[in-house]
Amino acid sequence: MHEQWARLAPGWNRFWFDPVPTSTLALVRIAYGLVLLAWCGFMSFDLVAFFSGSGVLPERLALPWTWSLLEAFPSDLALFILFALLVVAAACVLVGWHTRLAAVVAFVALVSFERRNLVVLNGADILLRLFALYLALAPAGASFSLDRWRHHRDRFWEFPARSPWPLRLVQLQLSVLYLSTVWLKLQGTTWRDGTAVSYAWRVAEVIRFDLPAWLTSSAPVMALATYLTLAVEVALAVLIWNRRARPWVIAAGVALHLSVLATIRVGLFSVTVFVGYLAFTPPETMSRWLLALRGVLQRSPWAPLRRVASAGPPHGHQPELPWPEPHPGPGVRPRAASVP
Amino acid sequence: MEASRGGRRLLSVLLVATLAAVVVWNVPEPPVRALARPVVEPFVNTAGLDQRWNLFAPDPPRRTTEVVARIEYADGGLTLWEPPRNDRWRKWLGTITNEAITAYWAPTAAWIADHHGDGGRQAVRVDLIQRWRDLSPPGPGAVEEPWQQSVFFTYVVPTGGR
Repeated sequence: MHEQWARLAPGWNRFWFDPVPTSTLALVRIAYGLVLLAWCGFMSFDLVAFFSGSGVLPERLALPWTWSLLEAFPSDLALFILFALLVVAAACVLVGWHTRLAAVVAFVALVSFERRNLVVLNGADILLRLFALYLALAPAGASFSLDRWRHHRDRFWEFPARSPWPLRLVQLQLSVLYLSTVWLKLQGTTWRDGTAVSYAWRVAEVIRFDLPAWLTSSAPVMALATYLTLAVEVALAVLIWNRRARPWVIAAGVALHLSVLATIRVGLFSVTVFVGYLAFTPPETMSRWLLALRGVLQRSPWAPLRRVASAGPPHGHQPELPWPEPHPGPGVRPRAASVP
Repeated sequence: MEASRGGRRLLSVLLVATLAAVVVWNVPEPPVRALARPVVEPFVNTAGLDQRWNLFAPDPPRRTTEVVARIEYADGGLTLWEPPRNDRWRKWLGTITNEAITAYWAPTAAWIADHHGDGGRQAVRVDLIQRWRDLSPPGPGAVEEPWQQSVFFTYVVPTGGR
């Protein structure tokens, strides 16, 4: 057992703990903040209907071991204050200002709303709550943030390396999501007999518009769409971990979710999934993109943007790792820098 | 924390425990689910890690269902209320009707009465109506079933509001 662990430990540590640039984490944080703001925008229309004591659910459904601030503070005033805090937290996550605190506030608020009314919960709500938790655990404000600007303006365009384990949780969460949904689908009959997509595209209350009958009633085409959906979801769970297959798998996932987004009202689920896909961007690639953005900003006619671009360090400066790299054990490969 | 060997070990234990709990939570098979869920439920629910990924699973609905409300006003006028076309209203109305959660029918009808006064007119009665149509399997000979509807709940607004 001890020998087995000794063999596994270097790989384990490399996967979870070897520092990588936080540029990818910055992109995930920004995308997450945008989606959460959009979520707040949509939610504002139904806030009272679904979460107030005067709404359709006067009291919360209390499941074991669940908690909600809206149970402790059930008034409408508390509801509006919590919602306002969530909006502010989303904006702070977006710009990276007091980022960890903002992520914690977002997580607590999302949990409180979701637990207040479980019936209206959808996939986007769940994924946004989980991502908030993982971001709260991550140094999400370490790069490309107001936090960075405030504390290290002379090194603003560096993306300090940090342990990637919270980002790994985001990545693994996506795999769990897709494995789980495929497993659940295979418990039914329509995903196995190839008719599921036909039914889904004809459920009047979820589709955005009526799809042509020649399409939804074509058994071979609908079977192909059904099995293709399952295949893409399996690939997103498994093959996304293969570096060569990853771009193709993500492209297939984007195509799948865009087709869902275009035809079915699934809230913000598709765009929230895309935030998860960004977590698979290699940090080196993301660092290059951000530095390219710096070049664009330097040529901007708008002085504030040129000022941001002129922050340090000078081009070509190599950032330091936050701590010395551990000495690799026997048979350990050098760290693959481009693994996300 | 992860800079020290001890910190990494502690984090590793937490990460393994978290992932194991999340995986167990997502297993749909009855034996595993029944045995392991009670063990992981306190951790998963408290930490906000609970999740379900059952959009169109295990099967998409084979019946299309809509809920509308007929509002009757004190002056005898009638209005048909249709819910906002968004995911949350669909889930709310679909769940409380399809799963026959009768306890939520009255608050839903009361909310509709309260918020759809139609120019200051006082709603006195709300009928919740379910409309549905069965979907046939794709393939040759597929026919569109006719829409059906029924009033499944009537709410009489109490004098002076709820």
